[in-house]
Amino acid sequence: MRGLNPEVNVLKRVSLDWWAVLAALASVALVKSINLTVGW
Amino acid sequence: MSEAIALQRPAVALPWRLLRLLPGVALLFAIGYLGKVTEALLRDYGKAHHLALPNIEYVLWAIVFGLIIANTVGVAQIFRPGVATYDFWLKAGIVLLGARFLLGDVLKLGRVSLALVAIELAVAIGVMTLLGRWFRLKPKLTSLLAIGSSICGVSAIIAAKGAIEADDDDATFAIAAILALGAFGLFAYPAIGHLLHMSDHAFGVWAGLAVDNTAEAAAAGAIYSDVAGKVAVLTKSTRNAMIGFVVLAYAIYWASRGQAKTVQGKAAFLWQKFPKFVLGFLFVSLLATFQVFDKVQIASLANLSRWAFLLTFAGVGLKTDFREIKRQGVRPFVVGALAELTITAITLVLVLAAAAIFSL
Repeated sequence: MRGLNPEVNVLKRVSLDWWAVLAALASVALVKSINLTVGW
Repeated sequence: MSEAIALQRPAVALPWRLLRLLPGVALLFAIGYLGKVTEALLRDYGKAHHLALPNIEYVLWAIVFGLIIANTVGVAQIFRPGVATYDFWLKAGIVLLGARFLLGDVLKLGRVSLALVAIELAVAIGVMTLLGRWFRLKPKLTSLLAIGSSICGVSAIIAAKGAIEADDDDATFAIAAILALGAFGLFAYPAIGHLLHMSDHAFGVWAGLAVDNTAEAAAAGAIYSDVAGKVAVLTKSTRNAMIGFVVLAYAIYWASRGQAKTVQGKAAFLWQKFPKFVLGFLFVSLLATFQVFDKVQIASLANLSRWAFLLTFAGVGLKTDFREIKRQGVRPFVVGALAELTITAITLVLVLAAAAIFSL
């Protein structure tokens, strides 16, 4: 059944490390492209 | 019918999975933010009343609040999936931290760190193995504690558990011991650093070498100073990069004794265990080196990294349950504590010597 379920398979193949890298790079792209300003 | 159900499942499952994370992530944010507010309140109170209060960073407050909740009322089931994301925020925060490092600095500090990491690995594995034998711990529990104390705590233990086919109980205990010792280190290391008047760089390298779990190493550094926090993360990441080699060595050892499967494809094994966020960190650092970002963008990325760490530090407190140690027995914990004390002392001498030679 899992073979019919590509989304779940892709999610399982991508490790937590890669998700963290993807999320960080997505926020880097946002900061760079639309000059998103983040305060502290 | 069953195929239709299987095809429909992800559409429901993915949003549901993300939704399940929300309460825990909100709790991480609330505790982290409360830590930040407490730091500011105390600072303002001291200023207003002309009192010389110690500047206690939000990091420590967030951890303390988390520890109190975890060890008194406990973390309710509804929050647990979200609280477990602290590791995700840690790794994302490290990647973003790359914006504050030029690649030249990374390589310079990395070279010194790598030499110290190699010595630390040999010492930690040797000490833990000897103590495990003296105290007659189960050999695989000793292996897990040695891997946990030499490289990167929880991730290393999880990576090694499958590779050396250790029991769930041994892994649970080794994780609990490493976390409890890490929590103790958070308070002890900065105090020792201040007592010895260590520079930010030297303390950062020491925290990165001696504190086992990446989140605790980052927190110990950040409690000392912002620069020490950065250096601690870099040193700890160098240590983390060694995870594959050490786990592979243990896997080969246990396979040679017929107590674990033989590792097929060693290069693939090393790549599988390699912490990928280190690559992300180096990539963002490369972008910063080529001046892809202006000053405002670098400040924004640094702040994003701090927000991610704020969630991580709240998670560090929430996941440390001292009652787990009590449940599993004290003897292996004593072994872990003795080994940590030895490693702490040896790495301190190493760092002080390196600080004198390389002007850290």
